[in-house]
Amino acid sequence: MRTLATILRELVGLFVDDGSLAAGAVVWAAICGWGLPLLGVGPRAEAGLLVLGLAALLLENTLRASSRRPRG
Amino acid sequence: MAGWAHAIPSLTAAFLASLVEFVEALTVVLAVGTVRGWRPALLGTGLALGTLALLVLALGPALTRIPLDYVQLGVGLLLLLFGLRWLRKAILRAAGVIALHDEEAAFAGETALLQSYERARDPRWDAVAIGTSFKIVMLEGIEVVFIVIAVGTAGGLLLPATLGAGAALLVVVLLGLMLHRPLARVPENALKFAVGVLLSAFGTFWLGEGIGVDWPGADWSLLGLVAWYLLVALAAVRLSRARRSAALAAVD
Repeated sequence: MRTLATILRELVGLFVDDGSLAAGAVVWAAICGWGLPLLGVGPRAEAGLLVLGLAALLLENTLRASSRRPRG
Repeated sequence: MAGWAHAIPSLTAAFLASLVEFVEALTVVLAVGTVRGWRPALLGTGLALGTLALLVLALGPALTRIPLDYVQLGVGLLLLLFGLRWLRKAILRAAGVIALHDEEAAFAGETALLQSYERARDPRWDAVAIGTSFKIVMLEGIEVVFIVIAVGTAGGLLLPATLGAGAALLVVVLLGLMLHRPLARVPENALKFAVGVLLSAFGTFWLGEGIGVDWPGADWSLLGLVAWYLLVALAAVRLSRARRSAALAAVD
Protein backbone atom coordinates (compact mmCIF):
# COMPACT_ATOMS: atom_id res chain seq x y z
CA MET A 1 0.00 0.00 0.00
CA ARG A 2 2.84 2.33 0.90
CA THR A 3 4.63 1.50 -2.37
CA LEU A 4 1.46 2.30 -4.31
CA ALA A 5 1.16 5.64 -2.50
CA THR A 6 4.82 6.40 -3.27
CA ILE A 7 4.35 5.59 -6.98
CA LEU A 8 1.19 7.73 -7.07
CA ARG A 9 3.00 10.62 -5.35
CA GLU A 10 5.90 10.37 -7.83
CA LEU A 11 3.44 10.36 -10.74
CA VAL A 12 1.56 13.41 -9.49
CA GLY A 13 4.91 15.08 -8.80
CA LEU A 14 5.76 14.79 -12.50
CA PHE A 15 3.06 17.32 -13.31
CA VAL A 16 2.40 19.27 -10.14
CA ASP A 17 5.03 21.21 -8.24
CA ASP A 18 2.90 24.09 -7.04
CA GLY A 19 -0.74 23.06 -6.67
CA SER A 20 -2.17 26.52 -7.31
CA LEU A 21 -0.42 26.87 -10.69
CA ALA A 22 -1.58 23.42 -11.84
CA ALA A 23 -5.14 23.98 -10.60
CA GLY A 24 -5.23 27.44 -12.18
CA ALA A 25 -4.07 26.05 -15.55
CA VAL A 26 -6.71 23.29 -15.49
CA VAL A 27 -9.51 25.71 -14.52
CA TRP A 28 -8.44 28.25 -17.17
CA ALA A 29 -8.30 25.53 -19.83
CA ALA A 30 -11.83 24.45 -18.85
CA ILE A 31 -13.09 28.05 -18.99
CA CYS A 32 -11.53 28.55 -22.44
CA GLY A 33 -12.79 25.20 -23.72
CA TRP A 34 -16.33 25.19 -22.39
CA GLY A 35 -17.14 28.52 -20.74
CA LEU A 36 -16.08 31.07 -23.36
CA PRO A 37 -17.96 29.43 -26.28
CA LEU A 38 -21.15 29.68 -24.20
CA LEU A 39 -20.54 33.44 -23.97
CA GLY A 40 -20.22 33.65 -27.74
CA VAL A 41 -16.43 34.09 -27.82
CA GLY A 42 -15.00 32.89 -31.17
CA PRO A 43 -12.29 30.21 -31.51
CA ARG A 44 -9.64 32.75 -32.62
CA ALA A 45 -10.25 34.95 -29.56
CA GLU A 46 -10.28 31.80 -27.39
CA ALA A 47 -6.75 31.02 -28.60
CA GLY A 48 -5.53 34.47 -27.54
CA LEU A 49 -7.28 34.32 -24.18
CA LEU A 50 -5.92 30.82 -23.48
CA VAL A 51 -2.34 31.99 -24.10
CA LEU A 52 -2.71 35.26 -22.14
CA GLY A 53 -4.36 33.55 -19.18
CA LEU A 54 -1.68 30.86 -18.90
CA ALA A 55 1.11 33.46 -19.08
CA ALA A 56 -0.62 35.56 -16.40
CA LEU A 57 -0.90 32.49 -14.14
CA LEU A 58 2.81 31.71 -14.54
CA LEU A 59 3.83 35.32 -13.86
CA GLU A 60 1.58 35.64 -10.82
CA ASN A 61 2.81 32.35 -9.40
CA THR A 62 6.54 33.07 -9.77
CA LEU A 63 6.14 36.61 -8.39
CA ARG A 64 4.20 35.30 -5.40
CA ALA A 65 6.91 32.69 -4.72
CA SER A 66 9.61 35.39 -4.99
CA SER A 67 7.84 37.69 -2.53
CA ARG A 68 7.71 35.07 0.21
CA ARG A 69 9.75 36.05 3.22
CA PRO A 70 12.97 33.96 3.27
CA ARG A 71 13.20 31.54 6.21
CA GLY A 72 15.88 31.81 8.88
CA MET B 1 6.55 22.47 -44.85
CA ALA B 2 4.54 22.98 -41.69
CA GLY B 3 5.74 19.51 -40.56
CA TRP B 4 9.11 21.10 -39.82
CA ALA B 5 7.36 23.55 -37.50
CA HIS B 6 6.63 20.53 -35.28
CA ALA B 7 9.45 18.10 -36.09
CA ILE B 8 12.33 20.41 -35.14
CA PRO B 9 10.82 21.61 -31.82
CA SER B 10 9.79 17.97 -31.05
CA LEU B 11 13.30 16.67 -31.63
CA THR B 12 14.86 19.58 -29.71
CA ALA B 13 12.46 19.27 -26.76
CA ALA B 14 13.00 15.50 -26.50
CA PHE B 15 16.78 15.88 -26.83
CA LEU B 16 17.17 18.66 -24.23
CA ALA B 17 14.71 17.19 -21.72
CA SER B 18 16.28 13.74 -22.01
CA LEU B 19 19.75 15.24 -21.65
CA VAL B 20 18.80 16.81 -18.30
CA GLU B 21 17.18 13.61 -17.02
CA PHE B 22 20.02 11.33 -18.16
CA VAL B 23 22.64 13.62 -16.59
CA GLU B 24 20.81 13.34 -13.23
CA ALA B 25 20.55 9.55 -13.57
CA LEU B 26 24.22 9.28 -14.57
CA THR B 27 25.30 11.06 -11.36
CA VAL B 28 23.63 8.42 -9.17
CA VAL B 29 24.68 5.44 -11.35
CA LEU B 30 28.30 6.71 -11.20
CA ALA B 31 28.06 6.97 -7.41
CA VAL B 32 26.68 3.42 -7.19
CA GLY B 33 29.37 2.07 -9.53
CA THR B 34 32.19 3.83 -7.69
CA VAL B 35 31.11 2.83 -4.17
CA ARG B 36 29.38 -0.55 -4.59
CA GLY B 37 30.77 -1.88 -7.92
CA TRP B 38 29.95 -1.56 -11.60
CA ARG B 39 28.24 -4.90 -12.13
CA PRO B 40 25.23 -4.24 -9.85
CA ALA B 41 25.11 -0.58 -10.99
CA LEU B 42 24.83 -1.62 -14.64
CA LEU B 43 22.45 -4.49 -13.80
CA GLY B 44 20.02 -2.09 -12.09
CA THR B 45 20.34 0.35 -15.02
CA GLY B 46 19.71 -2.41 -17.57
CA LEU B 47 16.65 -3.70 -15.70
CA ALA B 48 15.18 -0.20 -15.56
CA LEU B 49 15.87 0.47 -19.25
CA GLY B 50 14.18 -2.85 -20.12
CA THR B 51 11.12 -1.96 -18.01
CA LEU B 52 10.94 1.47 -19.67
CA ALA B 53 11.16 -0.08 -23.15
CA LEU B 54 8.23 -2.38 -22.26
CA LEU B 55 6.29 0.65 -21.06
CA VAL B 56 6.86 2.48 -24.36
CA LEU B 57 5.87 -0.63 -26.36
CA ALA B 58 2.67 -0.98 -24.32
CA LEU B 59 1.65 2.69 -24.11
CA GLY B 60 2.67 3.95 -27.57
CA PRO B 61 0.37 1.73 -29.68
CA ALA B 62 -2.44 1.98 -27.07
CA LEU B 63 -2.49 5.77 -27.40
CA THR B 64 -2.81 5.60 -31.18
CA ARG B 65 -6.15 3.77 -30.76
CA ILE B 66 -7.69 6.69 -28.84
CA PRO B 67 -9.38 9.38 -31.02
CA LEU B 68 -6.90 12.18 -31.80
CA ASP B 69 -9.07 14.93 -30.22
CA TYR B 70 -8.99 13.18 -26.84
CA VAL B 71 -5.27 12.44 -27.12
CA GLN B 72 -4.55 16.10 -27.95
CA LEU B 73 -6.69 17.31 -25.06
CA GLY B 74 -5.31 14.86 -22.46
CA VAL B 75 -1.70 14.88 -23.61
CA GLY B 76 -1.78 18.64 -24.19
CA LEU B 77 -2.99 19.32 -20.66
CA LEU B 78 -0.42 16.96 -19.11
CA LEU B 79 2.34 18.39 -21.30
CA LEU B 80 1.32 21.91 -20.29
CA LEU B 81 1.39 21.04 -16.56
CA PHE B 82 4.73 19.28 -17.02
CA GLY B 83 6.20 22.23 -18.96
CA LEU B 84 4.90 24.88 -16.56
CA ARG B 85 6.37 22.91 -13.62
CA TRP B 86 9.83 22.90 -15.26
CA LEU B 87 9.54 26.53 -16.36
CA ARG B 88 8.42 27.75 -12.93
CA LYS B 89 11.34 26.01 -11.23
CA ALA B 90 13.85 27.25 -13.85
CA ILE B 91 12.55 30.85 -13.47
CA LEU B 92 12.84 30.72 -9.67
CA ARG B 93 16.35 29.21 -9.91
CA ALA B 94 17.48 31.81 -12.47
CA ALA B 95 16.09 34.57 -10.21
CA GLY B 96 17.96 33.18 -7.19
CA VAL B 97 14.79 32.33 -5.26
CA ILE B 98 15.65 28.62 -5.03
CA ALA B 99 19.09 27.01 -5.17
CA LEU B 100 20.58 25.67 -8.40
CA HIS B 101 20.90 21.90 -8.77
CA ASP B 102 24.51 20.85 -8.12
CA GLU B 103 25.56 17.51 -9.67
CA GLU B 104 28.82 17.36 -7.68
CA ALA B 105 26.95 17.89 -4.39
CA ALA B 106 24.39 15.26 -5.44
CA PHE B 107 27.25 12.83 -6.26
CA ALA B 108 28.93 13.48 -2.88
CA GLY B 109 25.64 13.03 -1.01
CA GLU B 110 24.78 9.79 -2.84
CA THR B 111 28.31 8.42 -2.34
CA ALA B 112 28.18 9.09 1.41
CA LEU B 113 24.75 7.46 1.67
CA LEU B 114 25.83 4.34 -0.25
CA GLN B 115 28.97 3.99 1.91
CA SER B 116 26.82 4.02 5.04
CA TYR B 117 24.98 0.82 3.99
CA GLU B 118 26.38 -2.56 4.97
CA ARG B 119 28.37 -4.42 2.31
CA ALA B 120 26.56 -7.22 0.49
CA ARG B 121 27.83 -10.79 1.04
CA ASP B 122 27.96 -11.33 -2.70
CA PRO B 123 28.99 -8.04 -4.38
CA ARG B 124 27.60 -9.29 -7.72
CA TRP B 125 24.05 -9.31 -6.26
CA ASP B 126 24.25 -6.18 -4.13
CA ALA B 127 20.54 -5.38 -3.61
CA VAL B 128 21.23 -1.81 -2.42
CA ALA B 129 23.29 -1.05 -5.54
CA ILE B 130 20.89 -2.72 -7.97
CA GLY B 131 17.87 -1.08 -6.29
CA THR B 132 19.44 2.41 -6.26
CA SER B 133 20.42 2.28 -9.95
CA PHE B 134 17.06 0.80 -10.92
CA LYS B 135 15.12 3.44 -8.99
CA ILE B 136 16.97 6.48 -10.36
CA VAL B 137 16.92 5.26 -13.98
CA MET B 138 13.20 4.46 -13.66
CA LEU B 139 12.37 7.83 -12.06
CA GLU B 140 14.29 9.91 -14.60
CA GLY B 141 13.41 7.56 -17.46
CA ILE B 142 9.66 7.81 -16.81
CA GLU B 143 9.91 11.55 -17.49
CA VAL B 144 11.75 10.87 -20.75
CA VAL B 145 9.15 8.26 -21.78
CA PHE B 146 6.35 10.70 -21.01
CA ILE B 147 7.96 13.50 -23.04
CA VAL B 148 8.70 11.23 -26.02
CA ILE B 149 5.21 9.71 -26.04
CA ALA B 150 3.43 13.03 -25.38
CA VAL B 151 5.37 15.08 -27.90
CA GLY B 152 5.38 12.19 -30.37
CA THR B 153 1.81 10.90 -30.33
CA ALA B 154 -0.08 14.20 -30.16
CA GLY B 155 1.67 15.43 -33.30
CA GLY B 156 2.28 12.08 -34.99
CA LEU B 157 6.02 12.68 -34.53
CA LEU B 158 7.16 9.70 -32.50
CA LEU B 159 10.24 9.20 -34.69
CA PRO B 160 11.87 12.65 -34.25
CA ALA B 161 11.03 12.61 -30.52
CA THR B 162 12.56 9.13 -30.11
CA LEU B 163 15.62 10.17 -32.13
CA GLY B 164 16.07 13.22 -29.88
CA ALA B 165 15.90 11.12 -26.70
CA GLY B 166 18.18 8.45 -28.20
CA ALA B 167 20.77 11.05 -29.17
CA ALA B 168 20.71 12.47 -25.62
CA LEU B 169 21.23 8.99 -24.14
CA LEU B 170 24.18 8.41 -26.48
CA VAL B 171 25.78 11.76 -25.58
CA VAL B 172 25.42 11.19 -21.82
CA VAL B 173 26.64 7.55 -21.94
CA LEU B 174 29.69 8.53 -24.04
CA LEU B 175 30.53 11.46 -21.76
CA GLY B 176 30.05 9.23 -18.69
CA LEU B 177 32.38 6.57 -20.12
CA MET B 178 35.01 9.19 -21.00
CA LEU B 179 34.88 11.26 -17.83
CA HIS B 180 33.84 8.78 -15.10
CA ARG B 181 32.55 11.66 -13.01
CA PRO B 182 29.33 13.71 -12.78
CA LEU B 183 28.66 16.10 -15.63
CA ALA B 184 28.77 19.17 -13.39
CA ARG B 185 29.48 21.64 -16.18
CA VAL B 186 26.23 20.99 -18.03
CA PRO B 187 24.24 24.26 -17.76
CA GLU B 188 21.33 22.38 -16.26
CA ASN B 189 19.11 25.31 -15.39
CA ALA B 190 19.50 26.87 -18.85
CA LEU B 191 18.50 23.50 -20.34
CA LYS B 192 15.52 23.22 -18.00
CA PHE B 193 14.52 26.76 -18.91
CA ALA B 194 14.61 25.92 -22.63
CA VAL B 195 12.74 22.63 -22.12
CA GLY B 196 10.13 24.36 -19.94
CA VAL B 197 9.54 26.93 -22.71
CA LEU B 198 9.27 24.25 -25.43
CA LEU B 199 7.00 21.90 -23.46
CA SER B 200 4.73 24.74 -22.29
CA ALA B 201 4.39 25.84 -25.93
CA PHE B 202 3.66 22.28 -27.11
CA GLY B 203 1.20 21.72 -24.26
CA THR B 204 -0.66 24.99 -24.97
CA PHE B 205 -0.81 24.20 -28.69
CA TRP B 206 -2.17 20.65 -28.29
CA LEU B 207 -4.53 21.66 -25.50
CA GLY B 208 -5.86 24.42 -27.77
CA GLU B 209 -6.30 21.91 -30.60
CA GLY B 210 -8.13 19.59 -28.19
CA ILE B 211 -10.60 22.26 -27.02
CA GLY B 212 -11.10 23.56 -30.57
CA VAL B 213 -9.43 26.98 -30.62
CA ASP B 214 -8.40 28.47 -33.96
CA TRP B 215 -4.63 29.10 -33.99
CA PRO B 216 -3.61 31.95 -36.31
CA GLY B 217 -1.11 30.55 -38.84
CA ALA B 218 -2.20 26.99 -37.96
CA ASP B 219 0.86 24.82 -37.17
CA TRP B 220 3.24 27.76 -37.46
CA SER B 221 1.69 29.32 -34.37
CA LEU B 222 3.70 26.74 -32.38
CA LEU B 223 6.85 28.75 -33.13
CA GLY B 224 5.02 31.92 -32.01
CA LEU B 225 4.07 30.18 -28.76
CA VAL B 226 7.73 29.22 -28.15
CA ALA B 227 8.76 32.88 -28.62
CA TRP B 228 5.89 34.06 -26.40
CA TYR B 229 6.75 31.73 -23.50
CA LEU B 230 10.42 32.68 -23.81
CA LEU B 231 9.53 36.38 -23.49
CA VAL B 232 7.18 35.76 -20.56
CA ALA B 233 9.76 33.58 -18.77
CA LEU B 234 12.57 36.13 -19.24
CA ALA B 235 10.28 38.88 -17.92
CA ALA B 236 9.34 36.63 -14.98
CA VAL B 237 13.04 36.15 -14.12
CA ARG B 238 13.66 39.92 -14.08
CA LEU B 239 10.55 40.68 -12.04
CA SER B 240 11.13 37.77 -9.63
CA ARG B 241 14.73 38.86 -9.03
CA ALA B 242 13.53 42.37 -8.17
CA ARG B 243 10.81 40.99 -5.88
CA ARG B 244 13.34 38.73 -4.15
CA SER B 245 15.73 41.61 -3.52
CA ALA B 246 12.89 43.63 -2.02
CA ALA B 247 11.85 40.67 0.19
CA LEU B 248 15.44 40.19 1.41
CA ALA B 249 15.82 43.93 2.07
CA ALA B 250 12.64 43.87 4.16
CA VAL B 251 14.08 41.04 6.32
CA ASP B 252 17.36 42.98 6.87
